Amino acid sequence: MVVTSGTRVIARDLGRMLQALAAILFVSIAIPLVWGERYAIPAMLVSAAIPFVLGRGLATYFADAEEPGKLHGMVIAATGWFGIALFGGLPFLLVATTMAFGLFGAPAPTDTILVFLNPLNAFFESMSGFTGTGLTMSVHENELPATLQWWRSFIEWIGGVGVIVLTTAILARPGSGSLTLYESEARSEKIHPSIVSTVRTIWWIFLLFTFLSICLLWLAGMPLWGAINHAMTGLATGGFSITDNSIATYDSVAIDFALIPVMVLGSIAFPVHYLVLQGDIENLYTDLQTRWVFGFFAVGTITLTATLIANGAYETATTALLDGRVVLQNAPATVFESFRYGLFQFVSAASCTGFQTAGSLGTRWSAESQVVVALGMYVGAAAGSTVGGIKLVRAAILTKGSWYRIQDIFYPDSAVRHFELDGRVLSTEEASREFEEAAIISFLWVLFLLAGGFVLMVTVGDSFTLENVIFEVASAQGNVGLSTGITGPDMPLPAKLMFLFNMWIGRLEIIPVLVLLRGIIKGLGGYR
Amino acid sequence: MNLRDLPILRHLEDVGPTDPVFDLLVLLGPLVIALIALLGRTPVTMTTTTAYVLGFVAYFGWNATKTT
Repeated sequence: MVVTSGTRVIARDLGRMLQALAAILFVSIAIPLVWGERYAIPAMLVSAAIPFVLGRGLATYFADAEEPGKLHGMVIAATGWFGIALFGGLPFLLVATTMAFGLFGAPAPTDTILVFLNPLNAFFESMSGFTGTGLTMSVHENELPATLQWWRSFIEWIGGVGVIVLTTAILARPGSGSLTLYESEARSEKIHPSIVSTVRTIWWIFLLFTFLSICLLWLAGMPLWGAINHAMTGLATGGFSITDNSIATYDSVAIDFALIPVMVLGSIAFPVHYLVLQGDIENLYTDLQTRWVFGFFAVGTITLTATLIANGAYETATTALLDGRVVLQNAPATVFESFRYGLFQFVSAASCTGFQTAGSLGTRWSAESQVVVALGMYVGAAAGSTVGGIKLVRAAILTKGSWYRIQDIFYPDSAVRHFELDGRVLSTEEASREFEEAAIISFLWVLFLLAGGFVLMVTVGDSFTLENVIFEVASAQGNVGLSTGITGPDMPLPAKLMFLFNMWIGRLEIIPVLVLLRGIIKGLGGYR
Repeated sequence: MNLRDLPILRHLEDVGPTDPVFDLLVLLGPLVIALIALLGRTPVTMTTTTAYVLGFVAYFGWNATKTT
């Protein structure tokens, strides 16, 4: 068989990514040791050994492959994320198998564990984790062994920053190839001239914020294990929980409000974090995207709170705060409860985290409330952060661009106009390129949203409304994880496959996956 | 001795925003969490954790004021 130079590049870098996956699996063996779940160690070892051997083989055999170009970078990102999610599902499958057969002294499995005997469910959980989606096949997350609870949180934490960012940080490879891959993973902004330094700084910032988030959540009253897991998945804007009803389980005002800054931190681009930590705090309002993050979150929260009040979703006679030291009654109590849930759910949606405090979004919340949340999921927050959606910068370009075009009609043909974006004055050609990129991504996003919605409508039957279906697909494709109750192990097979595709394309901003599919159908050679 | 003279901080300095206090906070984070894991929710751990979070907030604020 003839292996083309393009295939060699892809195989070599896929091998590197699999080695990085093996490294995080080996590290995770500490968890069953600490929690006394020794029966899970063989499963974790095998899960780590398989990608390690395969990855090592590919990286060694194709070590002399050339540096990836733009085309290869996109294909590597798409295949890499697919491969990582596929092999990342092994711990779910193998731990479930170990428990099902009672191997190595494993306790009897619950139905929640047995779900993962189906390899597709294990793959779904892994894809949802790495892409930071948070939709789950687990019915009762609190019944999962600590090993799997950790693995779910850890893959969201890693996936939030990016698998390629992780690979570059571990297997440092200076040069243009790393930059190409970095950009293919839906990232573009650099902190330092060197891409290796950039990704290491990203990890430094992420570590600092993770430790702070754990401490903050623990101080708010969350048990330590919950604080560790929820800080990781909250900061990564992933949304997996270790409790049965997500954050609603705690039913704590302090925890709800402590999670807001955690999710907001995950919504801001890393280069802005870097500058702000250096003392340049004005970047929080001079940077276009960050300014829009705060504005979008504020407007969304106010709108959602207003709809919740109008619909009486949280009408209550009394509510107690600060351990009962403050008691609100009647209208103030209703307004506070609506604000509490509105703020949390909008920030959770727009940051693409997917934590839930409202237990019944699908039935208790009105259609207009669901639409507001779905809009948050569709737009997302800042590019260069850990969030999904089309990203605020594109929403800003499309909004300003539309206004620019409308205003154009009122100017004479001879007028020379400039388009300003984030303090930059763009030429007509540059502005058109920005509009085009934003419009294409947004169009494709809607196209696949509709495709996913169609598949879901056909397969889930009449038990869910159209707004439930659109909400669920937007949640999967925006890598959010809020659910109206459609996603679960009993989902029809076509719906699971469609959601796997939605999560995959959502994380990579669609284009790399379409490039891969085009490459599979027509070959990876460019036009000659 | 200057904080920057510690070898591990010098390595972190190359990675982070060249600030020894933030570097120290990255190093202290796992120790604070380990302390909570060992002692549970006690006045000592509550005070230590509060000091860790407030230390970050206070230094962040002071740093921002100093720079701008």
